[in-house]
Amino acid sequence: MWSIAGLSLFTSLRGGQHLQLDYLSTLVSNFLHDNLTLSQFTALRPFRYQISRWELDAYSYLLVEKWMEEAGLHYAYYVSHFAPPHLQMFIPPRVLVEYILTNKRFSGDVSGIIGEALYLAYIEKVLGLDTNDTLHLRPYKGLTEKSIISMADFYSISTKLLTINSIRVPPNSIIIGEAKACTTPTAADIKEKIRKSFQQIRCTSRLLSRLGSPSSLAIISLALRDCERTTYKQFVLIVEV
Amino acid sequence: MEAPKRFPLLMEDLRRVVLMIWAEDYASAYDLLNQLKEKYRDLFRRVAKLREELSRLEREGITKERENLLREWGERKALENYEAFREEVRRRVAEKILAESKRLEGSCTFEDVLAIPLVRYFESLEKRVSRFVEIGLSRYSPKRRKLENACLR
Repeated sequence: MWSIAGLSLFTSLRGGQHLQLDYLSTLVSNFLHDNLTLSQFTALRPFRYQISRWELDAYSYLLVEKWMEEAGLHYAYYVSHFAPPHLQMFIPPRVLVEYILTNKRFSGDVSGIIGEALYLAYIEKVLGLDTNDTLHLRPYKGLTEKSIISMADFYSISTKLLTINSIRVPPNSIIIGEAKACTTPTAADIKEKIRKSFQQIRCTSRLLSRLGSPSSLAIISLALRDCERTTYKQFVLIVEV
Repeated sequence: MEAPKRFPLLMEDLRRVVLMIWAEDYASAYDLLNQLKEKYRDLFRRVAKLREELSRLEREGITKERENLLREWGERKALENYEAFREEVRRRVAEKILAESKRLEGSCTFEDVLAIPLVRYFESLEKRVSRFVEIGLSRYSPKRRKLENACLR
């Protein structure tokens, strides 16, 4: 069983508000290294939840759908090794195609799946959304069209009234989500991941707002590997778009 | 954004397909996908049309806006700020699409727009399952767990 500590921050992109990329990446770096100042901390909401190896496996199997088995085992390797185990593609000549799908191709996929599984754990354990009402929009890399309408990772329909960081989300609302993981979270890496997430969220919301949506919420989750404490930390941005 | 009433049902159906794929029962997954195609035929047809139109607007828009911006910025500035250049093109194209989409309102609904991600999801499952069925993978007995961590060292 692992304990995941996190912080969430509410931000809005409405009314032409611009993203404060530098501020956000500094905030996330400070959070990772426990250097947050009191004034920074007051804008944030802390959360904590427990997750077991089997739960990670279940999220990976049923929701992330990327054919990685033993997500919990990979998680254990990732949090306990300074340099995570390197994954090498191993395909004996007579192995069926199905084996290629059930093994991951490269290490980046593994950390991505850990990030996605933690996103799902967050929306279920902290926000109270049901992961059964969530779809992962890009189950297979490479099959989705390269387009400006590139989607965020997740698409959820809330079945009940939710209150997320003081925002009331009415039942039957659509919430879009983007999950990223940083295995070696440097300031530059964090900044790039936040920038990319916002770009995906923007593309999705631009498309969805075509007919003027009354309210729309997006969640960006950054899973940050904290190797010194053998855990992951999670930083969540709740974005009003 | 309020989801239309049949979206949760469609999501549930898609998740059933995913479970079948995990059980390596590709034949059943293929059948179920075909049933879903029939069940949501009207929605899928409208969404396909809308996507086609959006892609066309995007393709044309990118070429046009690239040229416009290149004229405004000059080649040197565009090359020096390539990321910003691309972002600006994207922004302008998205605005154009939003403006143009008013014209589409007669032929599509808000439901169609919201359904685009779900239909894309359906298609990616369909592509993969069709490939499995075509190569006769369902004839083999499932053995995948034997090699599950073969590539971890």
